[in-house]
Amino acid sequence: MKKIAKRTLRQNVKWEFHNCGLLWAILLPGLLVLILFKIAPLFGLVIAFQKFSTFKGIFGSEWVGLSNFKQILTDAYTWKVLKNTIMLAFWTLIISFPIPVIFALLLNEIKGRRYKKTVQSVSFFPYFISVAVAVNILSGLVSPSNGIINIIINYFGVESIHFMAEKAWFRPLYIFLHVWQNFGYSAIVYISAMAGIDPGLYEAASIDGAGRWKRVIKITLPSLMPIIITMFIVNLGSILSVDINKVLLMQNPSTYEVSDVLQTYVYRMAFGSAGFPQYSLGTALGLLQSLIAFALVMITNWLSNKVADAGAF
Amino acid sequence: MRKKVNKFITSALCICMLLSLLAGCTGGTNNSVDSPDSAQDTKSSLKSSDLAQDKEAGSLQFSYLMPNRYQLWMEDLSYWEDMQKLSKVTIDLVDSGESDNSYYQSIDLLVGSGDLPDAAIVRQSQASVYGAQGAFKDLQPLIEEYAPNVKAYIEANPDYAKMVTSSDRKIYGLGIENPLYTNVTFYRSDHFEKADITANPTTIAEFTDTLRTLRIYYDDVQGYYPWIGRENYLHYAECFESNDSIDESGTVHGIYNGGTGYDIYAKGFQDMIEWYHTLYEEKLIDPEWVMGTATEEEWQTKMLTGQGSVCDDFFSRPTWFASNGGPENDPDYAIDVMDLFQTNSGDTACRYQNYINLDRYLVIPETAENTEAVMRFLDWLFSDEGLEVMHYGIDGINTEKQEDGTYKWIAEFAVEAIKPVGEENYGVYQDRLTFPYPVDNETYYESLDAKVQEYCSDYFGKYASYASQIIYTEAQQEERSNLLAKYDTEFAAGVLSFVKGETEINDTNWQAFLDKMENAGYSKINAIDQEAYDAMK
Repeated sequence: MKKIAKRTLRQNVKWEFHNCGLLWAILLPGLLVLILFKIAPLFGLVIAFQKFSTFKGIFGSEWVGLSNFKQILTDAYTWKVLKNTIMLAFWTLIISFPIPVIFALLLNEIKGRRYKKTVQSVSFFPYFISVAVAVNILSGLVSPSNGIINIIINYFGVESIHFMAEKAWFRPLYIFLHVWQNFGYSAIVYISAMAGIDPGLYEAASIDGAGRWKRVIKITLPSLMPIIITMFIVNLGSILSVDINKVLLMQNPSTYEVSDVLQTYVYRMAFGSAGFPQYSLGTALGLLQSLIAFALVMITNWLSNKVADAGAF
Repeated sequence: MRKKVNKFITSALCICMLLSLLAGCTGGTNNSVDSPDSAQDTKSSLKSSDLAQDKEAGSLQFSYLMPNRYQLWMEDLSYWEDMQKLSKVTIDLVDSGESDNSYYQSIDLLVGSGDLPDAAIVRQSQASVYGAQGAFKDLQPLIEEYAPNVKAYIEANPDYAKMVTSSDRKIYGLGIENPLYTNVTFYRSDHFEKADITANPTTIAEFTDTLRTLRIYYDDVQGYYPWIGRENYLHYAECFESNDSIDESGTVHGIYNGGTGYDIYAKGFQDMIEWYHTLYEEKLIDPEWVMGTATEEEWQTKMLTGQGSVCDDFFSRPTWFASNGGPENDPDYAIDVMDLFQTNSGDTACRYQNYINLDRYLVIPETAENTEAVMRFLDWLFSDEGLEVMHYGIDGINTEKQEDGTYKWIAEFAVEAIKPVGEENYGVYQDRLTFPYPVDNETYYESLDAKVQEYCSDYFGKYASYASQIIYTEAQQEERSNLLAKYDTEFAAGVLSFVKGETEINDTNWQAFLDKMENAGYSKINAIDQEAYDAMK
C-alpha cells in the first residue's frame, strides 16, 4: 500500500488556496458577519456581571458578580411575570405550531397550481406587516364602538365586548395575531419539504387503493416528521421570548394581570423613564432566558433522538 | 477563458461584499472629522469641530444636541436667527433624529462613544450620574470665568441653585425652568347651554350632577360620554386631598411625583376611587379612556364631534379645540374653562407644576471644543437683552414696544400655535426654547392669546403652584426605578379593578389592596423619597 505523505500546515494552506480559493472567498463575507455580529458580541454578556456604565465601558465598569441575577431571582414579582411569560409562550407554541403544518398539508392537496400559489402568497403577506400596524388593525376590528366584530355581536342583541381591555381575551388575541402574521410564512418550510417527497410513493399508494386522507397520514406526514421535529425544537428555543413589541402595544391596565411578562418588567426596570438605564439587569435576564432556552432545546433534542430517532442535531 | 471570467467576477463580488461589510465597522472619533465618506457624514455632524467651515472666522460658535422635536420648533421660530446675531454666537442645532425616551436612550450611547457635541440636553439623572463619572464638565468654574449673569442669577435664586448643584457640590448641568401652568378643566359651553346647565360646578358632587345631566341630555348620541380624556384618567386627586405632598414638617406623603401622584393612605383616596366607580357605572366617563385603550386621536375626534363635553387637560388645549371645532366644523362649537373644584374640606384646591424640567438639563461634555461659546451664549440668555428677546421676541417682528414700556403682541397666538412644523412661526414660546434662562410667568401668559390669557392668569394665580422637587442619588434612583417597575402596574391594575367593579370596594378588599401595594414597594419608595428630600434640606 502506498503511504500518503503528510502535508505541513503551510502546504495545507497552499493546497486549499490553490484548489478551493474561490470557495473560501465566497465563504469569507458570511464568516465575517458571523464572527463580527454574532460571536464577538457574545463577549458583551460580561456586562451582566457588572454595574455597567456606557461612559466607563466594559473595562471601566464596576464588577458586581451575580448580584444582577440575584436581584432578578429573589424578586417575588419576577415569578409572577415568569408565569405569565411561560403561559403566553406555551399557548402560543401549542396553538400556533400545528397550524402551518395543517395549512401546508391542505395546500398540498389543492390541484389548481395558480390558485395554490395565490393562496400561499396571500397567506404570508401579513408576515411583512409591522407589529404596530397589525395591532392597530386588530384594535379596529374588535373596537367596542365601531369594530366589525362588535357590530356583528350587537346585531344578535348582545352588548359590545371590550376585547382589548378584558384580561381573559389578552392571550387569545395575542395568539390569534401571532398565528395570522406567521402561519403563511412558517408554512413555506413544510411546503418546500413536501416538494421533495418522492411522487412514486403517492402513485404506489394510489395503486394500492389508498385514498387522499390515507396518503396524507401515511406518506406526507411521516415524510415531514424530521422537519416538524426540527422546527419544534427551534421554536422551543424561543419559548421565553414573547414578542415584547406586541405585548407593549396590546397591554393596558385592565390586562396587566396576564400581560405583564418578563420582558416588559425588565424593560420598565432597565429603561424606566423615571430612573437611570440599567443595561446590566437587561443583559442578566437575557442570559438567563438563553440558558433556559438552551437547556430546553438540548433536552428536547435528546428526547427526540431517543424516542423518535429524529433530532435537530 | 470563460472559467477565468467567472472566477474574476466571483472574486470581485466577494471583495465588494467584504468592503461593504467592513464599511459599517469603520469610524473612530478622530477619523470622522476629516473623512469625506458619506457613511461618516452622519456621525461628523455631531462633532463640534465639524461646524460649518464657512462661518465667520473668529466668531463664537457651538453645536447643540436636543430632541428632534425641539430642534424643529427652534428652527421654525422667526427670531431664532436674530438670537444668534444679537448674542454673537452661532449655534449649529444637531439633528438627533430622536424624541422622547428614545432620545435619552441615545444620549447614553453617545456618552459612551464620546460623540456628543459641544452641548446637549439630557435628563437631570444623566447629568448628575455621568457628570460624577467625568463625562460632563463642571460648569462652576466656567460660570465664574465666562458667565457673570448666570452666576448672579444662581446666587440670587437658592431654589434654582439647589436644583442644579449635585451632591458633590458641582454643577454638571443647568436646568430649564418651566413657566407655571397646569391642566385646566374645559367644556363645551354650547352643550352646557343646550342641557340647561346654567352654573358651573364648584364641587366634585356638583360636577357629578353636571355629568349626569349631560348624560341624560345626550343619551341618544352614539358613543357619548360626558367626561372624556387621554392618558391617566385619575384626575382631581387634589380635590380629594389625596395627592402626594410634602407637609410643613417636611414629611413626604405618598409616592412623590411633584404633587401629581397619589397618597393611597390619605383619607380621600378611597373616596376618589369610589367616585370613579360611580362615574364608570353610570357611564359618565369614557370607559375606553379608563381602561387605557383610547388613543389621543380618538379623544380629539370625540371632543370635536360631540361625543364628549368635558375634559381636564393641558392648558393650551381649549384653544386648540376651539380653533379646530368651530365655527367651520360646527357653528355652535364653543369651549370654555371652568374653575377648579373645591377640596373635600371646602378649601381651594391647588395643582402643581415642577419648577425645573427634569428632562431638560443643558450639559457640556468633557470632549467639547467650544466651551466658551456655550457659556457666552448662556450668559447672554441671562442678560437683560437676552431676557427681553426670550420674553418678547424681536421688537417690530413679534411684539411692538409701547411708550409706557409694555409690549403689544403682533402675532396672533391662536394662528401661530396651530401652524404645522416647518412653517415660520411668529409666536413667542418660552416653553419651546430649549435653553436655560429665567422664566417670567406674567410675560409668558401675556404671550398667549386673549382667551388663554384670561383664564391663565386667573386660573394659575388661584389654583397653581410650583411643587417642591426631589433630587435622587444614583443608588436611590436605581432602587426607586426597580420598585416603580412593579408598583405602577400593580397600582393601575388594582385601582382599575375597583373602578370597573370587578372588585367590590369594602374594608376587606381595600385592606387587601393596601397590602398588595405594600408588597409592591409603596412604603419603600416613600422612604426613599423622604431620605432624598431630607438630604436636600
